[in-house]
Amino acid sequence: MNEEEIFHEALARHLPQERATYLEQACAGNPALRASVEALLRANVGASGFLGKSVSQTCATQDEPIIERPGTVIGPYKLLQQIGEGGMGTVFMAEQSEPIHRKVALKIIKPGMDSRQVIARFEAERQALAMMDHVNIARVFDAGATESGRPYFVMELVHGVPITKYCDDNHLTPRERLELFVPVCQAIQHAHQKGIIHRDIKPSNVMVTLYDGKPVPKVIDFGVAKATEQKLTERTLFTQYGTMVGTFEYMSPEQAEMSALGADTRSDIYSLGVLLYELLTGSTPLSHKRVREAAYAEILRMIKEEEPPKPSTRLSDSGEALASISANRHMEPAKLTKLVKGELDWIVMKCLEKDRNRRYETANGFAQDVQRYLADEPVMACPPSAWYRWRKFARRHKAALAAALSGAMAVLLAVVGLAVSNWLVTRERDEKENALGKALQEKERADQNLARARRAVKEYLLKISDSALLKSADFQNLRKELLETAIPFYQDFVRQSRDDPELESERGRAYQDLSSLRRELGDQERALTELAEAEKIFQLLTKTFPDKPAYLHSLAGALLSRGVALNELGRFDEAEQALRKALDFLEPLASKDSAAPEYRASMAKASSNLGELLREVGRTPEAETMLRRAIELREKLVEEQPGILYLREELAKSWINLGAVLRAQRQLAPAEKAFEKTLEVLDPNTLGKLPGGSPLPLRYQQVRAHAYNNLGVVQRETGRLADAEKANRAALAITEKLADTFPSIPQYRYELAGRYNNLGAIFSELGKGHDAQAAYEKAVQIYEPLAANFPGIPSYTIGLAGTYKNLGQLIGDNGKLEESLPWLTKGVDILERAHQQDPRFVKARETLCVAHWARAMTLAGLGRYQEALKDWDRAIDVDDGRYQNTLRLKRASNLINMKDHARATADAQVVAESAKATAEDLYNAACVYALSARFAAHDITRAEYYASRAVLLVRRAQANGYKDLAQLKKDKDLDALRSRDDFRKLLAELEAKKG
Amino acid sequence: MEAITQVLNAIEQGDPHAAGQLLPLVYDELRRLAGEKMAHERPGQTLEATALVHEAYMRLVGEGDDRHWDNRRHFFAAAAEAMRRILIDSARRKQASKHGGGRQREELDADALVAPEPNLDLLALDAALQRLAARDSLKAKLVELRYFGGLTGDQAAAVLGISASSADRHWVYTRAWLRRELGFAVES
Repeated sequence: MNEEEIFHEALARHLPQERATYLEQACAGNPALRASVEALLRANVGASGFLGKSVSQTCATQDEPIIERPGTVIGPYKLLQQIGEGGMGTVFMAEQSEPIHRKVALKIIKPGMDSRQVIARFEAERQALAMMDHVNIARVFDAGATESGRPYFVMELVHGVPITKYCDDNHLTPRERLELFVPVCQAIQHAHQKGIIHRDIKPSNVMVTLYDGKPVPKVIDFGVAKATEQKLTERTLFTQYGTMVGTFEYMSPEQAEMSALGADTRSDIYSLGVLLYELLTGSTPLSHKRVREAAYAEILRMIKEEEPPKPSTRLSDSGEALASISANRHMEPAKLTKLVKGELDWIVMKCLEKDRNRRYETANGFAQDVQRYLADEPVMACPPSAWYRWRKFARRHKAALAAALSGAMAVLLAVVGLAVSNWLVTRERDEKENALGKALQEKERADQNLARARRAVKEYLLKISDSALLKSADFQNLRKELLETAIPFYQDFVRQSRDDPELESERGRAYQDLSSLRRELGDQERALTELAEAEKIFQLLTKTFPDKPAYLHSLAGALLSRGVALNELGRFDEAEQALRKALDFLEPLASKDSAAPEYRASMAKASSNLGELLREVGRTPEAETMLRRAIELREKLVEEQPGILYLREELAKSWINLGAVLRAQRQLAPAEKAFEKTLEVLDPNTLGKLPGGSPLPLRYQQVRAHAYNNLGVVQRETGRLADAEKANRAALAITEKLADTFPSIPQYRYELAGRYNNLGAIFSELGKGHDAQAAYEKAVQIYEPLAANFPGIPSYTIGLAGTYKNLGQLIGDNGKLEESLPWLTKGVDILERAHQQDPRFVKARETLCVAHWARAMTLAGLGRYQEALKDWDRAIDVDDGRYQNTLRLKRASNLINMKDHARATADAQVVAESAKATAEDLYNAACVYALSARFAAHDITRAEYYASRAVLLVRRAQANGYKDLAQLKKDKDLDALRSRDDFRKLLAELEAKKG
Repeated sequence: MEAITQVLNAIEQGDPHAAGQLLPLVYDELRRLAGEKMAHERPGQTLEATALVHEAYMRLVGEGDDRHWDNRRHFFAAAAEAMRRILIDSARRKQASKHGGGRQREELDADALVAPEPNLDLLALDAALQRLAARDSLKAKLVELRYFGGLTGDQAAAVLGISASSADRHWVYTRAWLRRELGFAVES
């Protein structure tokens, strides 16, 4: 039986014992199933009022609750008005008549709890609660049950708003927020000293109220959480999952664990930490959105396992929202992030430690640290060291880590040992100036050690860089820190220049490693400086030892890296120069088939990178040559070593790039072949059969996804929409998995957005407007934060702009022209900026051209010809020639609508004279002339001239293969010609020919 | 108004494309109707969503219309889905405006609509419903019809073409399932 059937069966058994026995038997051997049915049964309690409607009488199991409302009298309390509504219950303002007359807050718990138990638990804590006396604590006076049996609590009435809302509404600065937060900690400390744990600290339980115009925080609901919570010792039927009091966002890991340990004072400190986090950053570590979207077992896992980002990281990752978050705090965005970074990060993160032993021991300790911060004194909290986080990470992922990083730690330890011995040896030499022979020997040993150390560190780094685990979002920061730990090592290494050429070359390579570290950490400028240093070293070496090919190869390698880095930065000219220079050096090394494979591989890499660059700047024929060369070299390499995956990956990439170049030259069939070739090279089936072949790692799948995507694009362009959709979906599936598995890698999200965009285009052509819009919107959703967070990467922005344009066009296609305009304009504006930054960037220019085109069509459709004209002008301006004729004809028709015949016919004239004009173009040009003739009727000579040109052009269109006689006969555009003899003659001729 | 009757007629005559045209029409009508009603109400007044669906039916199809349930069901299925979208969109907008620096926004017509149950996190419910639809679309549809469309259990059963008793059974399970997803699994 499945969960649903068991649920119904269990529900039919009303007695707890009977039900338990049934579950025992039905879920025997499957504790997970049992737990999930029990959770369902628990959720079913009180469900009768849920979603508004009651179940029809046949299976009604519960009575509708009696609703308390103003006027209702409960014991000595008369309800006055409802003042709040929470997850747990409804809060009323009430009037107490005896023993004293006062106004109180009365919270009635929602149905679903056994009030006797609730009250009993409250009674147990009542004495302790009564002893609390603190200005920042709202007292809880009483508890009881209503007539309908629902438990209620009576509390001191607080007129206030939740602390987060108060702070935002009043735009409190971070400092003011911290000052307001300190007494909250002190209140919690007071309660803790009386033996009371709150267990449910969250903004709605920390109200701010004004006394004499000054804000005073008041913690409410003390004792409520405890009383409404099932005691863990009472092991009843439904204790498997323990209890779920508290709001997920503020819940400590141990509360989510629901182990026998239970909540203690440090759980409150955790929740206070979350509250401070929210006060500083505007969001909780586990965002409301994620809690809402995840299933509940997943939420518990996130609370227990996920490492929250530091507050400053959250702020800098918050994209567009940062502006409003900062405005609410009276600060500039950059200043806010800077302010939070460091000590405030540490303080908050100390509270959010998963291991409660590492949190502040007391709420007072927490408050004092905040006060130290406010007084500019050093705080007690300190950043967790990379080492500590590494250990924590390692502990949690023991098995996976062993596989991913086997030996890396040992290697690192060895490095430390070697480096130390090196240092000792060198120092000894310096101090004593020993006998020459001995010193040299030692020096050699030391130098060797250093070289080995560098290799060891490199290996360690390689493993960090490659570890999929470390690439996941949770460990992004840790990974960064680990990478950063290697930088000083390299810096020390490269600082000491050496006269031994081998070691000098080691130093050059260390510079290269350092620069790739910098690149990975996003510091492109420094990466370039370090590459220049490497180049200098290798240049000197090649000059001194011209017969050593290894140095030449290293020099070429440094140039190649520089070319790639420059290309990424969009500095195309310099990049091309560097790559060509690298090729010049590699040519003599790699031209023969017998040359060492590594030389040939470098040669292929340089050719391929240069090809890619040339493609990007639109020099397609040159790009094709380069890419074909790279493919030739790489095919040979794969043939020699068929089982080496990365060689295949590179070959596959070359095929993709070649396919793109062919497509740009409108050679669609060969392009399609190239993409198929890509899939072939990385076909998991073939690979599995190879000796030593293994399943294709996810990372390589990226290339396959790319190939499928491009295949889809080409198929769409050749009108095979069903094939295109299939290919696109294959690409989407892979990319979705990649983006999911590696959430910290923006490139995958960028690609995912592109896939959705293309899917939208296919749907749009298939006439599925709704699906198309959904796909485009999905793309926008992914693109927008990317473009905002990575303004330096033009392709993200251009991708976003392209989708804006597509979305606009789609909306326009549905006849909603006004609505489509803002999207088109958004796209155009972004693209104009991108185009200005580098006019040679092909994708920006092409997209810009069609975006203007799309907006021009829309404006013309709205009759706003004057504005449309500007778009036509600009589209013609930025077009590289591919669409000239079409665009000019469109502009001409726009000009006719503006009654500007002179300029309209001028455009038609250019088209008529163009060598590329098709029969269709000529016919349309004829229409422009004919229309001009009609509207220029008052000027007889001019009209006559236009009309005769029109007839001439129709003739030429005909001669070039225009065949649509029916169109010719009925086309209103040609009406001005119909009374003319030459036109009638032409029609008669055609009729005769046809007959 | 005309258009909807036409589409319903087309559905009756078995036009396979007609059903797809119904949703956008009903959506627009419901929004328009909400806007129109709000113009006559005091500011700050709210409308109950499910009542609006019924009113829309009266106005668009007419009480005297002798259509069978079999045909009326198309209208209610579309209306329930449309109402869900309207309410969710409105909840999203409200949330977005919260994140947009707290600017006071003009009340839009749909924002004046309230869900049948005021304290439910609509966006969370919507997300849970989407998860449910992925496993069991019939149950998700059932919730949509009853909660967003304001139909009774029997009516919803008729729309879905299942018996009233199995609709009730599904309803009990689905409510518990949703409540569990929404974190209502408290102790009894």
